[in-house]
Amino acid sequence: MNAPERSSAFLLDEDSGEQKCVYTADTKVTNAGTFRLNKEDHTVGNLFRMQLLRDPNVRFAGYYCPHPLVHFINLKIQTNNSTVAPVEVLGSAIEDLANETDHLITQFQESIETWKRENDTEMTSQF
Amino acid sequence: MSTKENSGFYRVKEAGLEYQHVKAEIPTPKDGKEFLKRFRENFDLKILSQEGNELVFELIGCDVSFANALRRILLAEVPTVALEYVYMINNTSLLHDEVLAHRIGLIPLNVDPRLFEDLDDPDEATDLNTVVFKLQVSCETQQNSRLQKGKDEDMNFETDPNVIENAELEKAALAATRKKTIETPGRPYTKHVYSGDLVWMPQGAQAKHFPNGIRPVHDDILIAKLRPGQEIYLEAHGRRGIGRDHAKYSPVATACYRLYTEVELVDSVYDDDAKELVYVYEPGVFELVPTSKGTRLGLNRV
Repeated sequence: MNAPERSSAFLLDEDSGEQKCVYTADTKVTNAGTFRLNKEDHTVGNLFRMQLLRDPNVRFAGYYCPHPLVHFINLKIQTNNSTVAPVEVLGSAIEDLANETDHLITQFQESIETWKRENDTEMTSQF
Repeated sequence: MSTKENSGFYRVKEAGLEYQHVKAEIPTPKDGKEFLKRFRENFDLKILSQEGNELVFELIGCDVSFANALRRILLAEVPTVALEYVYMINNTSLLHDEVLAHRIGLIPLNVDPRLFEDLDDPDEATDLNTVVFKLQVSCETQQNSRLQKGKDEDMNFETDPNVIENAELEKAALAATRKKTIETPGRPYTKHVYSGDLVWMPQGAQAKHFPNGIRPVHDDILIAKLRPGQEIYLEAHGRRGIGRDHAKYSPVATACYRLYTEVELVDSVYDDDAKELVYVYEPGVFELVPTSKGTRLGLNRV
């Protein structure tokens, strides 16, 4: 009776003008800010956090889901110096991840070709 | 700064000297291009085995979070087509309407979801975004079938006379109905309704786009059991969806990953000590290597 729509877990609420990403600069700490990613969960949060931690410009990166029934994550980033903004750092992290994924796709397809050639079995059109 | 890869230092403790290992620090990449270069050099993907519906592959040089994200996306965000809206015309079986609809929704369909569009509103169903299936089965009462026995023997029905008289059933469904009929003496006949009984109704241009037809992946999924006099007549509409919406849209039975730890032998271990240590971890991690100095403990490198 009170259950919310399942689609509200991953579809942006257009009626209330929900945006995918909202940035709030941190008032007390320099070079820091919080990104609120709506309708996202650990899948993307953990991935962004790990990628940000590999960046030498990042001093602090962490994410959390405030409540499992409300579907958004808060991603906090603090950079080392005031020349690099958290927004830029997140942008480059996302770009790197996209390139990584592209490389994964090509590598996967190559591996499938190699496997098919080696095994020479009757593969269905699954691949 | 030691030049050896496994440099370390001694730490003096109450129990004695303890050697603390320090792995050589790999400097963090300066920027995206260097990171990508390093990734491309180290990354490898090997397919280990593929049998039937199961694929096992190995990701080397990639991060845990990447593998986990891949797993989560496989479970929840890869779209599939499944039956969602079930319109009941007649259901006199023992299963409630909603239970039957739930079971029908869980049946996997052999459709490529990329050929379909998303359906937001069931009122706007078109042939581009909906699949329509019909299920019409009924269980003959025994008296009727016994009366018809004389008639049926003239016709070319190879099976028992309790087969329902509906000759519109497809051959596959007929075969399914013949399987596993329970015939215990003294009890009335039970009809099993299998997923093979679902009949695809091509809408609009679908007959052209799918010349081979759309079927459930398995024909022998038991949906319901009917007693004599009971009938199920329903029409089911399917649409595309993702696992986050409902688990029936998840394309994988399961997707899992396992992180392999890296084991390093700091010092060589020989003979009796080696034999003891081989069984410390699970089989396959260590192996005994015969050398000139005796049996040495080696790492099993795949």
